[in-house]
Amino acid sequence: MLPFLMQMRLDDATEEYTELIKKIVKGIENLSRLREEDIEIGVTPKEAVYREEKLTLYHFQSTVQKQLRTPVLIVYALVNRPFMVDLQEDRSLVANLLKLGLDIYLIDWGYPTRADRWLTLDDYINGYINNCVDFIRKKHDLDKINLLGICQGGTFSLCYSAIYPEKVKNLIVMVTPVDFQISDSLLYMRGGCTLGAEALDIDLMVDCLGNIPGDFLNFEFLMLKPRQLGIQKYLDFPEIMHSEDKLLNFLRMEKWIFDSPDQAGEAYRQFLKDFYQANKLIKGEVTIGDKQVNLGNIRMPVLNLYAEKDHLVPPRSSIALERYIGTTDYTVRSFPVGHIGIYVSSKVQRDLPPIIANWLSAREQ
Amino acid sequence: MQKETNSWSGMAEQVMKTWAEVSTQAWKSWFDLLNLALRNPIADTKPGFESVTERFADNQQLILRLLKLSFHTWQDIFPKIEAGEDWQHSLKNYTQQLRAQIDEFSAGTIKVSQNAAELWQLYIKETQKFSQLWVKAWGVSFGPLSKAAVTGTSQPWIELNNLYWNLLYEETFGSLMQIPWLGPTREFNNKLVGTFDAWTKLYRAGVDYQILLTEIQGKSFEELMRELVSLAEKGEKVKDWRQFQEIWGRIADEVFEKAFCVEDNLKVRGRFLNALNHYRLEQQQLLEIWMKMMNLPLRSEVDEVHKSIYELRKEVKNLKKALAQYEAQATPPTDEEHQSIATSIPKF
Repeated sequence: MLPFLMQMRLDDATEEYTELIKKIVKGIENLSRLREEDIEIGVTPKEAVYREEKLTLYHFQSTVQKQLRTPVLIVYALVNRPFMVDLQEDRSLVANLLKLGLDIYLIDWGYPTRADRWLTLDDYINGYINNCVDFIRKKHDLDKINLLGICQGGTFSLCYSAIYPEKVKNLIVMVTPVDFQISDSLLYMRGGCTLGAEALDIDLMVDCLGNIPGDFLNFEFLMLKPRQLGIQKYLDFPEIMHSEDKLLNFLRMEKWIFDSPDQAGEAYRQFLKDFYQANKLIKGEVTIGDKQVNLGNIRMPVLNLYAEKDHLVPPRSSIALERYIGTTDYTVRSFPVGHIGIYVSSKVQRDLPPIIANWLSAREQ
Repeated sequence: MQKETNSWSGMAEQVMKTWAEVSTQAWKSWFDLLNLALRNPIADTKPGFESVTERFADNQQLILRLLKLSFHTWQDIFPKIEAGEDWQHSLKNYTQQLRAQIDEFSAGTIKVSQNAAELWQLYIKETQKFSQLWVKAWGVSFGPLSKAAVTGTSQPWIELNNLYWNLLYEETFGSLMQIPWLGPTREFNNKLVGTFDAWTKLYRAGVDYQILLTEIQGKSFEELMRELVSLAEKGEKVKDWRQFQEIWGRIADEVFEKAFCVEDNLKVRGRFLNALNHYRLEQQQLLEIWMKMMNLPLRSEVDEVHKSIYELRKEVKNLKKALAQYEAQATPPTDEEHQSIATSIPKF
């Protein structure tokens, strides 16, 4: 039994070091050829069909004949850009759903500025989402459409579906936080799920900063696994940079991670206080504008998709949904990946889109 | 073998040094990011917050010292495992030394924190130039204010008041002196004292948070050693530095996660973040006094304007929606209805 330091020989290490240098040299060659446009994300052709202030509603161009009459509106989180669902040609949830004949719309929230610091959840849910839904309903001459909410966008979709059940035919939520009282989740604990303002005084923070800088949130997410996300992955970088494909994947992901819009102050205040700190959603105590959110009103079919290794939205937080909604048509599916893996893992991208398409198809009539 | 081990020792020490530097840079970046939202609009002035950042980063040296201590313990432990000797004792020694270093650091900073005069001087020194216009007044002022803490009399405060009156108000804004109701000294002093109080709380909270982080780093190294020992006992080899890094990363993050799921630790972090925001808010209010005097638009005013626009915009949207609903409901009258309306109008 030799200890680690003595298990390794200097000549082995020298060889390893030489190999590494070769990879770095090749990697630098690859890097020098790349330009910003090579790592563009959100690649599937789309058309802006509705705009309201900074919001843009996109309609993706179908590549095959549409199989389902009812379109799907994807509601993404306010945190980070929504193009994680369309990261690159071979890793795109949107492209894969289009191939299966779905008609897809996506809300791009844009980048809030100081002028948007007073936007509330009422504006986002009763305003923007409702206006987008109405636009699509009118365009397709339908009473109801399908909603696909992702992460925080899933929580918004739950609120929306509880307030306007008459406009939602089927609801799909992905990696969506529902129960915020999860004491072994670092993100929830740091957000004050047990301590409230003692962990983070949101009022003070919003009063001080106005909008919450996207970079602050980024860093908070990195601090959930500071060494692995902040250091380790860059130490591993030389190992992948010699491969152009891997390098492009890495850089696209970097671009997505660090392209973080600021959060409108008042909306952030309510989300953190009512959802994270007071856990009001499952208690039926959330009020959006003048409308009470009662999850029991969600009687349309619900598909709940979560990631088993999610360090941002723990599975327990998502699967709690079943206990609070009023539907009798509830399906839950999980994938053995993390929060990001659910969008980008090639295995999940092979399995997930058919699950969504088949589930919707079975409820189309 | 001894020669090889020594070479690796050098490399390991280098790795740890790099780790500490990267960590330092990461923390510094975090503070810099937090600082983004409050940019001083006046060129060549430097908000005091930056100095807090620098001090925090400088004190990462403590972590480096702890890492070296950890590494030396590591060197001590492994030969003992190999020889079947008692390695637990060395680990215990390491933990005790770690505690001693943290206590020493903590005692030093708390001592400073207990002396208000020292704190004030530190504050003035570290705050540097909040504004070019005030720097002179500040430089002269910390002497009398220090006396205030020592003597407990109001005299130094009065002196300070006079200083501001003479240096800031008369010299800088002499022309404004013609308007007596502009006298800013009292308001300014209140804000200044409030900011100092906020800074003091931030200073203390920062020290507490740093002690906690240091302890977590030390603990993660301790856990790393336990894991390496456990792997060695199972006969599982750590093949290369990459694998070693992976184990280290995983262990460090696990320890970090566990530590911050403990409410007492979260409170320490919370006190620091809240103190930081409170300080920035105070600093901003102080800055606004000066901006007001310079007839510059204030952030609070811009917020107010944005709020008004936001409310008006929302009202217009609601009105448009209501109008659209009424228009949809209102169906045009039929010919018969038209005729009936026409005949029902009395003729005079």
